[in-house]
Amino acid sequence: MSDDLLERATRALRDVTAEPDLRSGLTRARVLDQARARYGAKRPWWRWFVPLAAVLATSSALARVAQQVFPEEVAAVWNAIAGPTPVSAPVAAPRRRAAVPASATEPEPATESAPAPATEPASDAAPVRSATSERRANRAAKVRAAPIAVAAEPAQTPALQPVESAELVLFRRAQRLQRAGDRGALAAWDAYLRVAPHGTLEPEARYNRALTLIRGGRGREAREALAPFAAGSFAGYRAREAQALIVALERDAGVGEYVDGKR
Amino acid sequence: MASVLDGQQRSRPEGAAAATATERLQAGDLAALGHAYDEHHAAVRAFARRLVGEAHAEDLVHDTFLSLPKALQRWNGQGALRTFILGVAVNHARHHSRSRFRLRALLERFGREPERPVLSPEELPDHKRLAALLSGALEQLSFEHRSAFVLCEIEERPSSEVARILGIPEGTVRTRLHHARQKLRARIEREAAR
Repeated sequence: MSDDLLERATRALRDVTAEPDLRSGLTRARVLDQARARYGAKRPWWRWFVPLAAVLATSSALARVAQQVFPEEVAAVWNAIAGPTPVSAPVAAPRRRAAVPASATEPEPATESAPAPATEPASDAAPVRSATSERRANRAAKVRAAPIAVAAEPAQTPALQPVESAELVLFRRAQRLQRAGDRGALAAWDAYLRVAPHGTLEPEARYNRALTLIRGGRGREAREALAPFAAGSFAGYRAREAQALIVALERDAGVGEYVDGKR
Repeated sequence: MASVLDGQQRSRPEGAAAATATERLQAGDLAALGHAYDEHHAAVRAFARRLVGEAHAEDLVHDTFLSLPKALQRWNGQGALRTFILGVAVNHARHHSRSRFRLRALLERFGREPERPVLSPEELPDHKRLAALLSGALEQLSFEHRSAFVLCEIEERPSSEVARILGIPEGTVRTRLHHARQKLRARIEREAAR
């Protein structure tokens, strides 16, 4: 009896629960909608990597531009973050030495405007380099002392080069003016000798200056300038030519003969 | 028409198609999930209505299919997909049953009546009255006994398949079925005698 009742109830429940449900479509939509959010929303790696890379590249580029355009402000920010950085002495010293030859040429333009262009690059370059190095030194925040000292060394070597080049430029300029018969040649030789009174080209400069004096009709000064050459003061350089020129000048001027470098 | 994903004896091309569908499901392919729903939702829904009742069946179907792609990651491919899906439903129903048990205990503690169907069994036709009677008696059973009875008696599944669905040995299935029958019989007789 009871087995039969249980069996009938089981069959009845089986039939009742097997009927189709009108909510199945709604449940399907719910399942797919939530599955889309859970499984279908996987973003490929480049969807987040590309924007991240773009942000990093833009920010680093902006930082670089800001360092170039506003170096002092950026250095101030660095200093504010990391504290003041002591600027080591070896950094400043070579820069000042580099500026010395430039200042030596400064009186020269008083006599003539021509030498200025030759010396100007040297005199400008040194302060610019010095200011840049100070900015770099300020920009350095935490572990900056060692890198600055290393960076200062290469600046020291080229700082000496402008001296030689300025001497050479002055010599060539005077030479060019002399060949052209320019009146400014004498001033150009004087300018060279002021910059390099004991330079490697000093004998040539003094001899050429004497020739310029002869051409300028300044015989007495020319003779005084040629006298050291005639006496062999420059290791016999142009000694014979100097003696011949002095004899010719004295003959012109009606002065006694020149013998062994003495009148 | 029998589903290509269902049944123990599948031909080789059908098995390959099932493997492809399973791989798509594992990858979270929405079209594959929709297809699986269309294929198996009737069976899962009927099982859910028998196991947890009418009121919570839709939620169980929803949870089962929503978690299916993730659950398939641990499927070894043995047996029919429907059997595996029913196993997923059983696991969800177990949690659901626990929460319902806690709710019922809470309501009883506060002196309220446990949940009852809207219509009393006496108000229903004989066929539906018997179904409601059994459904109420099933609610009183433990989840282990209830799931064994629903799968074996109401769904008429072989004990080997029930053992796979529940993840227990076949002997345990038979034991649980035996105890479930005894308890249900006693309750139905008591209710019918009223």
